[in-house]
Amino acid sequence: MKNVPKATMLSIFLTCLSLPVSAQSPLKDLATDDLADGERLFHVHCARCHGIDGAGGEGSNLARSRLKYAPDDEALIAVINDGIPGTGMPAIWSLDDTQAKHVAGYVRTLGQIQDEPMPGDPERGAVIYQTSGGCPACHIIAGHGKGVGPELTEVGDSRGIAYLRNSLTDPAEAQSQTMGYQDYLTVRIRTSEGSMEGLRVNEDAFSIQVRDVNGTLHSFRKEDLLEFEKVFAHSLMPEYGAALKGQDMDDLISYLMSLRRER
Amino acid sequence: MRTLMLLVTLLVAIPATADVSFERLVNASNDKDSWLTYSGTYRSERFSPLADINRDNVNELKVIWAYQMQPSGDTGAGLVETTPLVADGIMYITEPPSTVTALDARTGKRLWSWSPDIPEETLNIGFPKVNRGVALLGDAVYVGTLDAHLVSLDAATGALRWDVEVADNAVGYSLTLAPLALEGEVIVGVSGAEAGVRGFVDAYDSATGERIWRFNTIPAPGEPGSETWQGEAWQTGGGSTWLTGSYDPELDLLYWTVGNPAPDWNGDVRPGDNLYSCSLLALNPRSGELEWYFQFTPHDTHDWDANQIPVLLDAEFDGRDRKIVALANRNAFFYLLDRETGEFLHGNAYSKQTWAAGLDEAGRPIALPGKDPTYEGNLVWPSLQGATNWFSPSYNPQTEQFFVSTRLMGSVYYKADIEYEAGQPFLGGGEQAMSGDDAAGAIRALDALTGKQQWEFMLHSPPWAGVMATAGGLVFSGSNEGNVFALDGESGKPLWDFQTGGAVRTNPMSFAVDGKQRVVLTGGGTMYVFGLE
Repeated sequence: MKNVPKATMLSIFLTCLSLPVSAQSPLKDLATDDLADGERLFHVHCARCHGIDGAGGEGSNLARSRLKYAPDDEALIAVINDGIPGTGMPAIWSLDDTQAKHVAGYVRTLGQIQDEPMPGDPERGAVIYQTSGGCPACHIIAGHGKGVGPELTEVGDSRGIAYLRNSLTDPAEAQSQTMGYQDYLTVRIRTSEGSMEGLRVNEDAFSIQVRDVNGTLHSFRKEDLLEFEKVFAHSLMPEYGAALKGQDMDDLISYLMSLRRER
Repeated sequence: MRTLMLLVTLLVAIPATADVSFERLVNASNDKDSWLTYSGTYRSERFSPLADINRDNVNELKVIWAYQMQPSGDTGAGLVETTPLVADGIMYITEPPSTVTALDARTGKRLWSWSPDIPEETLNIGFPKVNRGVALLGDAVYVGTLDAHLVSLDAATGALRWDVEVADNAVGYSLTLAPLALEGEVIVGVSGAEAGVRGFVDAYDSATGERIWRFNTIPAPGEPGSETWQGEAWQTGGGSTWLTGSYDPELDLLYWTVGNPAPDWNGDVRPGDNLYSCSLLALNPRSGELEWYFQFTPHDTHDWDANQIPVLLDAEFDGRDRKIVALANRNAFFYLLDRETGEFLHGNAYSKQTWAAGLDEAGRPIALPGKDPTYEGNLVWPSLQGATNWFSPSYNPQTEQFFVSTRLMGSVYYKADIEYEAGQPFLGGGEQAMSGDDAAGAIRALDALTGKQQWEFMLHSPPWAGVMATAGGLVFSGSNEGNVFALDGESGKPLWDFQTGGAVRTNPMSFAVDGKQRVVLTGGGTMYVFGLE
C-alpha cells in the first residue's frame, strides 16, 4: 500500500463512490471526472491547510460526515466561495462556480464511507443493543441513553463494517486510529481528595475537564493534580468479542450501520 | 495658579497627539511607557523594561479594559495578529483585514478608525487575511494593506495622507506585516511566495510615498546570486519578505528576512541554492544595497521561510565583544551571527528536527538524504509551519535569555507536479501534519549565547502566539486553547493565567498609562488589557 501513489489511491477510492446527495443538492449531477477535478483543485487550493488527505492540519479535519460550517452542500459551496469570517478560512476567489462545485463534491467524498452490504439483521441487532449489549448505559441514540461514550445516532454515516467490528472487539485499537485529538481518551487523575478514571472532554495547558463513567463532568486545575496520566491505546469501552459472537455480533453491527441521517 | 491647575487637568484628561521622531525610535528602550515599533525597539527584543508587574504580584492581574475587533467589509477576514503600538497615551492597532484604529490607551475608547476599500477579489494565497500592525513616524501612521498598498494616515485623525500601490495583488502580492519606520523612510516587504511572486524589500519616502529603493530577493540573470538559479525559475522564485525586520542605527544596517523559494515543495524545477530565499539580509537602508547575507536553508523544499524576527544583542562571545543577531529559525535551528559581517558564530537545534545532521563550520546545514517531499509522502520534522514561525521571540538583556514559542510537530510532505499560472497557488505538493495528541507546543528558554535550553513550559498544541519578557522577571505568551499566561523567567513556572475564550495569535506587548503598567494580549477577536489596578 505504501508504494501506491497517494493520488492513485484516491482516484481508485473515488471510482467506488457515488455522492449521497439529495435531489435538490447542487452536487447531484457530479460525475467521477468532476470529483477527480475536485481532488486536483483541492490539492492546489486547500491541502496546504486541510492536509493532503483532508484530514486536517492548520485547517480543520474535513474527513467527517458532518462539517460544522457546512451542514448542507449549498453551505459547503458558500464556505469555499466566501470563506468563514473570524477564522483562517479564506474565500477562494480564483475558483469559478463549476470548480467550486467540484471541490465541494470531492470534500463530501472525504467524509463518506463506502456502501457495504449488512452482514446481519439490523432489527435483531437493535434488540441486542438494548438488552444483552447494555449499550444505552454509555451511548445515546436519538436522545435515549447515557452520554459517556460517543453518540451513535448517525454512526452509520461515518463508520463501516470493519471499524464497527473493531470498535466492539478491540475498542482501544479502534480508538487509536482516530485522527486528531482522541475524543474519548482515558485519563487517570489523583488529587488530595482521591483518584478517578474518566474520559477527557477538554484540556489546555492549565486545566482539564473529565467525564467519569457515570457521565458526571469534573474540572481540575493541573497545578492541583498529584498524578495525571493520559492512557493512550486504552478504552473504557468493554471488549465485546467474548460476549457477542457470530450472528449476534453481525446483527449488532448491522443495526449500527443502519443508523444514518435522513436525507 | 488657577490657569496652571486647568492646564494640568487638561494634560491628564486628553491624550496628546503622537510625535514619534526617528531619534525617539532609536531610543525606544528608554521610552518605557510606550511601545513605538512592532517589536518594541529597533533591536526587536520584544522586552518591556517595565517592572511594576512582577513575579510577586502578577497573580493579581485583572482585565482593565477589552476591545472587540470589528472585521470590515465582506472579505471573510477575522484572525487577529496585530501588535498594538502605544505612544503618548494613544494605542494604534490594526483590525483584519487592513483597518487602522486609534484607541484611548487609558480606557479603550475608540478615537478614530480608517478602513481601506479592499476589493472582494483580493488574493491572499498562502496566508490568512491578517495584518500585524502599523508603524509610527512623526505624526503619521503607516499601514500595509491586503491588496498590497502602503498608506500614510494622520495620527491625530486617521485622515489619509497618501496611498501607494506597492505591487500587483492580481498576481499574489500582499502586505500583512507591520512596516518599519526609519529616518525619513518606511520599509515594507511582501507576502505571496505561494503564488510564485518574486519577493522584494522596498523603502518609501515617509513624507511623499515615493519609492526610494527596491531590493529584489530573487536575483535576475547576471546579478550576484543568480548562479544559484537555472533557466527562468527565478521569475517565479518566491522569496517573500513578510515580516518586520530590525535595524542597527550605529552600523546603519537594516536586517530583513526572506521566505521560501517557489514552488514550495517541488524543488526539481528550481535546482540550486535559490538565493536569497530562506536568508537573512543586511541592507544599507539608504540605498537598499546588500551588505551581506546568510542563507539558513539552501534549496528549501519544506516551506521553511526564514521570516522570523532577527534579534540584535551585544555580548561577549568567545572572549570578544560582539554585535550579534540571533534568530530561532523555522527550520528548528537557533543561530548567532556577527551582525557587522554576517559571520556564522553558533548554531544548534532548539527543537526536534530530522532533516539535517547538524550545521557545518560556516553554518550551512548538513542535509540528510531522503528528506525531501516525495509523491508517496515523507515524514520530516518540523512540519511546514516550522519549529517556530512569524510570532515573535523575546530577548531579556538583563539575563541574556532568549525565549521562543516552539511548535513540536512533524509532517508527511508530498511532492506534486506543478506549472505556474499567474494569480494561482504555486505549491508543488502539500503536507499531512501530525495533529491532536501527536503534536504539542512549548515555550522554551534558551541561553542566548549558547542556545542551550534552560527550561520549557509545555502547551497543549503547537502555538501561534509570540512571547514577551519583562524586567519584572516574567515571560508572557498565549495558547491556541485561549490561555494567556505569565511564566517565571527564571524557572518557567506558571504564575498567572487567564482564559480569553479564543485562540491567541498575537504577540504580547506592554505599556504604561497614568504610571500604571499594562500588558496586552488578544484572544480570538478580543484584545485584553491587563493591569494590577
